[in-house]
Amino acid sequence: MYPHERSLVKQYENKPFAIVGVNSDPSLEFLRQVMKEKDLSWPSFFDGGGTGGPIATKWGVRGWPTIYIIDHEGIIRSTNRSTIDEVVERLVKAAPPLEN
Amino acid sequence: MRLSALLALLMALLAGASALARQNADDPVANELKSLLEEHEGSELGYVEAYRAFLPRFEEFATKHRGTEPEARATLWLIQQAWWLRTEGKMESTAMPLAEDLLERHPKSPQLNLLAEYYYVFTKDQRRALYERLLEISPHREVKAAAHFGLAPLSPMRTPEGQPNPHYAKLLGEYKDVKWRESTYGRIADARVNPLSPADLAEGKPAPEIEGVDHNGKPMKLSDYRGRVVLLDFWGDW
Repeated sequence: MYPHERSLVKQYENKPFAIVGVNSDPSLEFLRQVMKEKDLSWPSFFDGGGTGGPIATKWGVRGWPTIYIIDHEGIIRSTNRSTIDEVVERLVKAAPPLEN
Repeated sequence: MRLSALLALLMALLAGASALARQNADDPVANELKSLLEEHEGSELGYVEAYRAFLPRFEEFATKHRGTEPEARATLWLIQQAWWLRTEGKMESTAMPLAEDLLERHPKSPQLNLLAEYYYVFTKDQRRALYERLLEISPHREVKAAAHFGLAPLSPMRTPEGQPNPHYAKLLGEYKDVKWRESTYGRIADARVNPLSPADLAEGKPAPEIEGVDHNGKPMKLSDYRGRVVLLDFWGDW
């Protein structure tokens, strides 16, 4: 998943797009180390340390990775991992450009 | 189950090691155990081989320092690591006597919350007995909250009247601010008792807000990213 995410971040630099993670690794130290070693630039919620964390539990997540694509107005548009590229492309095109 | 247990194992070892470090930086016995836990954690051996290799050392430590808090922690390691005996059918029969003995000798230990964290080495009946006992004997809020957390899933989540069961009710009320991992018992209990429904998370629905902390413990919200298309990615490095 990391190379794909990295390429999305690069492709949509300065565009209205963001990756937001919800991380279920065992500890904050572990997450910090992974982000450093794997050079992950996008933010993640730290979900309490482990797979039964409050965010994943609230959202009913049973498998990892699970994704949601949310449009610029905050509406869920897709949960399908196999069509990420085309859905993101379509939604980013439809979103107003970022104001600086 | 296997994967989450491994994660729980690793996490609890890290938590245990850092808790001890905070407790008593100058206590040579605590330091000896800290080194032992770190050595085990950093071992290149497979999980089962590491258990076999370190078992005699933890047992020796526990015998030598019997009655001390570091010994209680070492005994908790022995209990947790009984997980690796499950394929031989000896997990529960090893863990439970150790736990009963621990409660007998260390009823006021602030570390007994780990018995709830290591729920997976006990049968449901054993858990019920252990955690009920913890509620009776422990003076610590953290331990009592952990006991309720262990007991909560052993009863139907809601009463016939539709209220959260008494253990979840305690976690949502009296103990809601007690720390659980890097979160609180209040938040994890709410997530279990009031999960979002698949209909709430369907395409076309507004994404529910998420409030939490980032990798530095800094507060962040999902709605901070309104105006951008968001790929929300539930992930872990495994």
